[in-house]
Amino acid sequence: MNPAGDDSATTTTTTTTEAADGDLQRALEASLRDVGTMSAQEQDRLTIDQLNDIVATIAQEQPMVGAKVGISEALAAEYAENPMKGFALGIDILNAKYSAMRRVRKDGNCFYRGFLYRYLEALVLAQQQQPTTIPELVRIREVVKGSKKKLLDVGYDESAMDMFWEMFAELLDQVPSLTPDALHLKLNDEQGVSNHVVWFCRALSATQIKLNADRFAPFIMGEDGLADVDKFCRTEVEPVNHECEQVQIIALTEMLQVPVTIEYLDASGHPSSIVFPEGAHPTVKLLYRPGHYDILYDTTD
Amino acid sequence: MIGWAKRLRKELQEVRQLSVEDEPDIFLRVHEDSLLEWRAWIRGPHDTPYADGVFELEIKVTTEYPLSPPTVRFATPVFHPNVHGVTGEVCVDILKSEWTPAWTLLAACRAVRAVLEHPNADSPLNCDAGNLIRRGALEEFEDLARTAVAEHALREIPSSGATPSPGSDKPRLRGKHQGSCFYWHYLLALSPIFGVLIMQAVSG
Repeated sequence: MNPAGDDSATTTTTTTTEAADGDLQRALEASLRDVGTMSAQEQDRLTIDQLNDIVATIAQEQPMVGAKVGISEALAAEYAENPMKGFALGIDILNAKYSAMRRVRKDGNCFYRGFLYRYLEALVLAQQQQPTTIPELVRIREVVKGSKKKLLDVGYDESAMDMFWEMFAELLDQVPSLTPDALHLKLNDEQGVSNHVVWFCRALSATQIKLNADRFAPFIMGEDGLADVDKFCRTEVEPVNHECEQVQIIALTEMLQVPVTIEYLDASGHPSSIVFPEGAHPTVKLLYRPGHYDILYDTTD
Repeated sequence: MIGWAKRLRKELQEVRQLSVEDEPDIFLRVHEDSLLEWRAWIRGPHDTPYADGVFELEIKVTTEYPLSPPTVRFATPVFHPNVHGVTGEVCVDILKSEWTPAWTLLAACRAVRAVLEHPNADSPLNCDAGNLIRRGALEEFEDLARTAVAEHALREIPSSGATPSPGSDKPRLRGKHQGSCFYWHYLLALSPIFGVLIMQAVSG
C-alpha cells in the first residue's frame, strides 16, 4: 500500500534540503534590516505586507510554469559568471541526460506546482493516444476520491476542504478532453483553479503526514526536540507559499502513489539524483537547485 | 478567483446550520448579503476581564480567499495588547503569516476569541495594554479592560443578527470625544505608575 515505506523515509531525510525560494528569502531578509525601532507586531505586519508585495511582483514577472527550454540554453547563462565551476560541469552532465526543462515560479510553491504540472502533462499526453480511459487516470481518480475521507479523518473541516477537493477531481475529469497546450493555459491561469489544486497537494501531503505521524515524527523535530506533527503541518505544510522539504515530498508521493526523481545541481560538479520512493521509475523529474525546483524532461520525453 | 464564492457559500451553509448549543460563544453571519463581508459576535471568555461582554467583529474577505486570509477587526472598542486601540485591528498569527486555507471564518473567530483569553504582551499592538501586563500591573490592566467592556461591549449575542448592535453604529475610538474619554480613563489608572516613576526620577 505504501510504496515509500519506512526505509526510504529514513534514508532520504539525511539530505534534508535548505528549503527556501532564494529570491523570496533574500528580498525578505533585505526588507527586515531597517525595522529595529518598530514594535514586534508592527514588524510582523510590515514583513507580511512586504512578503505579499514580493509574491505579487514575482507573479507579474514569472509565469506559474514557463515554456519548454533547452537545459544549457536555460542554465548556462545563469551560471556563466559563477566562480564555482562545479555548476557548469553539472549543467553539462544534466544536458546529456535531459532534453529540456520548464522554469517554475519562485513563490514557495515550486515543488508542488512542478510536480503536479508534470504529472498532469504526462497524463494528458498518455491519454491523448488512447481511445479509452488509461489505467493511471482511473487509478488517480480513485486515489483522489478516497482522499476526502482521509482529509476528514485527520480533522480537516469539510466546509474548508470540499472546494479544493472538488476542483482537483474536476480537473482530473477534464484530462481526456485536454491537450498539453490547454493544460498549460489552465495551470497558468491566475484566476483559475491552478493555485487551488496546487494547495490541495499541500493538504494531501499534510494528511499523509498526520495519518503516519509515528513514522514521520522523527524527521520533524522542533527546536525543543519534540515532534509536533500537527504544528508542523499547520506551519510548514499548509501555509500558501511555504517552501517544501523532503518530508512533504515523501508524504505527497506516498499519498498519490506518484513517484518523483529529483536531480540536485550544486557546486560539486556531480549532480546527484534521488528517487522517491527508492527503486521506482518516475515520469516526473524535477531539478533542484538550493531553494528551488524546476521541471526536467528526459531525452526520451 | 473562482474558488471564493464556492467556498464562502459552503461556509455560510455550515454556519446557518449551527445551533446556539453547537457554538454558544460565537455568532457569525453574512453582512448585508455580500459574501465578501461578514459580522461576528464573540462572547468574552470566562475568567477574563472580557467575560461580561460581547464583541462585534468586522470580517472582510477578498476574492483571493481562502488562499489569502480574511481581515478581522474589532468593531467594539476593546482594551487588549493585541488589539489596536484606534483601528480595532487584531493581531493573530493565523490571520497573518500562519494563515492556511484549511481555516474557516468560524475558525478565525475562535482564534480571535482565544486571543482575548491569552494576551501576548511581548509584541503588542496596544502598547499601553502591553506595558501594563509586562510590568506586572495586572490589576490596572484588568480594570481598564473591564471599564472598556462596561462602556462599549454588548451584554448578549444578538439573537438573529438582524438587530443592529448598539456599538456598531457608534463612532469608534477615532471619534474625538469618545477617544479622549477612553484614553482619559486609562491615563487615570496609569497615574500611580507615572507617580512612582517621577518619584524614582526625583529621588535618583
